Amino acid sequence: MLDALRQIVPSMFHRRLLLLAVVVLSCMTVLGAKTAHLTTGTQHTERQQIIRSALERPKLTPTSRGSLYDRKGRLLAEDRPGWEITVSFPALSGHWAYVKARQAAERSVGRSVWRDLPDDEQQVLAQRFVKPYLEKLERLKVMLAEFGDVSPETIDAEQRRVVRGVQQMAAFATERKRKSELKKLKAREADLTWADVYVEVAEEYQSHPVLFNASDAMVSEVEKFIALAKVEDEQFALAEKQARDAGQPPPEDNRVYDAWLEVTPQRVRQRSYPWESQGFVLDRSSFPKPLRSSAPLEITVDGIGRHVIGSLRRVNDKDPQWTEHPYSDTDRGGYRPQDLIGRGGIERSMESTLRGTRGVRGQRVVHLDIGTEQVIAPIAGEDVHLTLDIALQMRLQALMSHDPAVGFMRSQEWHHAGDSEFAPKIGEPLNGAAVVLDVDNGEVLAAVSVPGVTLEDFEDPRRSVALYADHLNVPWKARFVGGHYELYDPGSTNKPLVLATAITDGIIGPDEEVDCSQGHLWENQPGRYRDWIHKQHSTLSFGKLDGVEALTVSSNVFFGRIAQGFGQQSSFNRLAWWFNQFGFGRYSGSYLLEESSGSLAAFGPDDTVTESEAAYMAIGEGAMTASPLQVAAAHATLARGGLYISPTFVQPHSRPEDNPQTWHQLHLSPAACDRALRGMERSANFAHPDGTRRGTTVQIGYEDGSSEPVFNTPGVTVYAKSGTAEPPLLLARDAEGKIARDEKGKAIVARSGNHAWVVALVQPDGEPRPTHAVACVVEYGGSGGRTAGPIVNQIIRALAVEGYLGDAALQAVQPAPVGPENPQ
Amino acid sequence: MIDAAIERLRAFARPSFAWLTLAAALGLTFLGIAAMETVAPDAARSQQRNLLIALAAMSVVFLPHPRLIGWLAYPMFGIALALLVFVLLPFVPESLVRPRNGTRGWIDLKVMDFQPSEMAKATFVLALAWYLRYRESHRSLLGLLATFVFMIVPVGLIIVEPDLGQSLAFGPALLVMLVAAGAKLRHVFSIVGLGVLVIALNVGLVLASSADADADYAPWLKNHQQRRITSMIKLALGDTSEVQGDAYQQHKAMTLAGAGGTGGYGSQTAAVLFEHYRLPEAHNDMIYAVIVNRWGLRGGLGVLGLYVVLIGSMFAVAATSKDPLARLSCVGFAAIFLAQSVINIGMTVGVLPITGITLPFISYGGSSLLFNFIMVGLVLNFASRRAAYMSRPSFEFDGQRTAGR
Repeated sequence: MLDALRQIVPSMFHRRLLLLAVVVLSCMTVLGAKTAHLTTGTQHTERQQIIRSALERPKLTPTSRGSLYDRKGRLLAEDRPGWEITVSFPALSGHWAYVKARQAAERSVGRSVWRDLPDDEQQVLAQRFVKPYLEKLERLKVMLAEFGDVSPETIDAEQRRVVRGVQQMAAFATERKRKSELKKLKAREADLTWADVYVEVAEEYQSHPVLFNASDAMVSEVEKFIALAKVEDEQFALAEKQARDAGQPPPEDNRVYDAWLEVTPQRVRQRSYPWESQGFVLDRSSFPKPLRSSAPLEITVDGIGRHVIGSLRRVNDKDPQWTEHPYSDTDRGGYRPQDLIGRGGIERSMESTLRGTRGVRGQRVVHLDIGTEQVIAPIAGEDVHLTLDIALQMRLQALMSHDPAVGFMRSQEWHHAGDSEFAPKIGEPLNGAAVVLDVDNGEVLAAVSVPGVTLEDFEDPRRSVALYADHLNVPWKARFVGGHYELYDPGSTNKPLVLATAITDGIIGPDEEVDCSQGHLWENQPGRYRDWIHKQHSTLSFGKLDGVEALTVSSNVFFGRIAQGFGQQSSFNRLAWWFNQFGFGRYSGSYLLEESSGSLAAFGPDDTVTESEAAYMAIGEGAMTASPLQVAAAHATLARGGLYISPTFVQPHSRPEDNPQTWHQLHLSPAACDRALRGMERSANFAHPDGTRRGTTVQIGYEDGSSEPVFNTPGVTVYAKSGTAEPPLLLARDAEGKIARDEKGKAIVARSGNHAWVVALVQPDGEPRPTHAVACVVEYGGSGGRTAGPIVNQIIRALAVEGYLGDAALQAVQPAPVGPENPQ
Repeated sequence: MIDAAIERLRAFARPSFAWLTLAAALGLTFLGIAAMETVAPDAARSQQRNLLIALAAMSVVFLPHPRLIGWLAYPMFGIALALLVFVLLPFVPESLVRPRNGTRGWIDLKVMDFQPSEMAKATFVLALAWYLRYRESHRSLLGLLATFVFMIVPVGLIIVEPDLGQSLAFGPALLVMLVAAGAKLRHVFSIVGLGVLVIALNVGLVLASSADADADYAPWLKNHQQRRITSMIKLALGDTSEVQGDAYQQHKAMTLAGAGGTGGYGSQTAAVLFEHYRLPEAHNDMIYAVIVNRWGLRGGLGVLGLYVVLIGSMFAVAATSKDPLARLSCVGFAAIFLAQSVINIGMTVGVLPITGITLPFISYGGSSLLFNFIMVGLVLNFASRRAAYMSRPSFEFDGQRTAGR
């Protein structure tokens, strides 16, 4: 073959050229084939799709978050259009002055000379020009402070915050890249410096707000200066061009307002909470004697309903919403950095309803085939109507504030908190919670958790740190629903429920008496499971009691016997089942994600509730825990004659269709409900002349021997049951939330004593049944009736003031409600 | 002088394959300018000015007799090497040699930036052609290796700049010229085979290093070079993990080229695409992606076809010439164009790792265009000369035996 080629092409040089031509053609064929491979078939389709998605990068327009309203239509939260005055990062960091100084230096020596100067000489020369530009930045800050009616230090603080934040971001990104590069570089280039890998972050090129909530007038002033700066800048550019065209040296930079070009007013939507802080006059004339005063108290309540309403924060990568849609440009509902998301309360639980969907606007949306633009309007978030009465909520928070002038949530001598060294000392603040339910529909009218929280607690960095470091008081915890924490033993507030179930199941007849003369439940254990009267005097007992009397005096032994009766006639599991029917040991679906289910002894077919568990469950100590909301909902069920309605913080029409309020019938016998309510009524109102058989929430006795009724609201009948539950010791916590220990490793006790409970049903005169349920617990407060009773009484009076208990009660208590629409 | 110029014009008017060379070169250049209009209109205008300078230079080198060119080959190559040394001298002020992307490769002549490595490529070919024109020593292995000295010096200096891309054209040009000059194919293929083996070994070591976080089996390669090799292989295997890292530019180039399809997007849409889906160095090293995106597969094949015409016509000029300097120079220039175009297009379509190398006549660059047209001018010059009477064709070694055999 080679010989044949030699004959055809006798020249060796030509044959070599032929060989090289074959090589050329081969190379070009390979490249052509690869190009064809890329530009046809699936490769082309996939790459076209990538390009298309790069082009179809829509400019998303903001949506507005839905508003929150209370049950009377009062605005609780809304997105309001507002202004922020932003300044470019180069101006905030001072870099702007150095850039301007370099430009001035270049103008001073001419461009060609400047280009020939080494870097260090350029820097030295630029340094001579920097001072006036730094002064311009200072003047800018002072003027912004004047416009914003804030001190220059405030602007300085914002400036530092922004610069530090952006630098931290850049440092974080740089360090991450450095680590990644070092991993790639391995040992031989391990001396990689930050300068080699510095990562610029987008925030270095953005403007950042330094003045918030700017008024239209302020924006107008700022825009005047920006307009001046633009005119000045155009004139300077023109003068520069004319000088350049004429071959003359550039004009001197005599601009005065050029720093204003770095300022931009920006339209923003701000979440406004009109009821965050309100003042009103609190009438103390009906307070217990030691706290009573004829002088009205002007009180300001902060963070009204904050535990229920919640607040907003920036979304972060720990949020499930973030991982769902991290960077998708086309997902209009997706979250992206700096987006706001509910921090807690309804703002969090109704996030998907409130959030809304972004719109799409602008020329960014270009279709390759038709070249059209797309405009999609944003969809605003839906409004949510809460069941709260914000004015009532305000009154309750005032009543339960730690303000010594109010005093209910400070330990008082008459609370009988106990003599233990860890019991609260007189005057010390107490924590607790209260809930008010509408019996008719299970709607929560007010829910208070003490200590409370304010927006500032979350948004001020220092206060936020302090807030989350308070592991002992856990202020962020919504105690009325548990707030993800351990709940309370409900104590004797369980007893009306147990009586009703026992009568319904036939464990005991409606008026059947039980012999409680032993004073304690178990034969050989006199120190355990005793009646309170037997505990005080071992010779005393209640004797024979029927259900109503047992509730009146809150006999433990009576209810212990009933629990035993469940074991004998049915099973102990049955008692736990009943509690579950009343809403204990499960989530109610109230629409607060902070809700805890509480604990309850397992009662399934394979579970065994012991006699002891059942007995203690009957008196609410051990074997179960509950939230004030669950206690109120359970007693509201009694008031309805056995219909359980799940409590809710969101009005039914605002709840998503797939998550409605639920209810179920317990089929309690009418006699059972009647006896339970009669027992509660006597517990709140009946005082036997001999003193031993008076109701446990009838009166408060003081150290001076005097006493007065717990409940004093005219025009209503109160059904109440107190509870004094002995909880575990409250252990001290260190800064990290771990249990603090002494030198010997022993846990340090912070608090001991009894949780004080009162649950009450309120029936206005003329109503056929109670209309409202109130539950209140004071942690380590002492006696239920003495500590929580007066608070519940004031809550009932507040209900009356807000018009919930009828005209008679309203006229007997206070004048008109107050609020932003009707300030005092 | 004028008579001589007129005579040269008459000579140019005689039909020759060099017309095709010039036509292909101009076609590629105008295609490049049109592509630049899409992504960098300022660069396109600048390139039009560069073209005028380059055509003027082409006209100048068309005039002298090849013998004079041969005499000047070594001095010009020496000047090119001196300039390569000059840009590396540490005391040269930055106003004269300002590093770009860390490379000290350009001299600021105020009117234009001059790149000595471009001059080195053209003069290297001339010097090597002048050296080999009457020799047979390269028919032995030792004599063949001696020619590598011509390549090692400029390549070494260019790598120190560092500008690996520019240095890559020298090796292929040397090998192609040796093949054309009659070097024994087994010697050449042995060297090529050894080179392929070394490359394969390096790639293997780089891949082994990337798999072992604590080891570096190819320390003679810089880290960015290692990463470009691994990212290219990953991309070729469909692994997109590096598309935001080392494979960023290549992935974007392939995406833009592939999206062009068979017909391309046209000028306006392509401009929108490149505005939103930014490709670094689109008007320069990545210009092939612009062409395929705008004109589609047809544009890409058109470019490849023009290169075939360009290189083929230069081979044809070499074939019709009897002057050994002309023969080897034409082949050498063609080899330079071939190497640069194959490497550049290869990296754009993802068959070779990314490196900084221009696409001849098409990429933006004054020095590059200047010396490309100087080479075309020399080809035109050689083609316009009549063979000397009774001259013996060179590089015909059929039937000869040499000591190195």
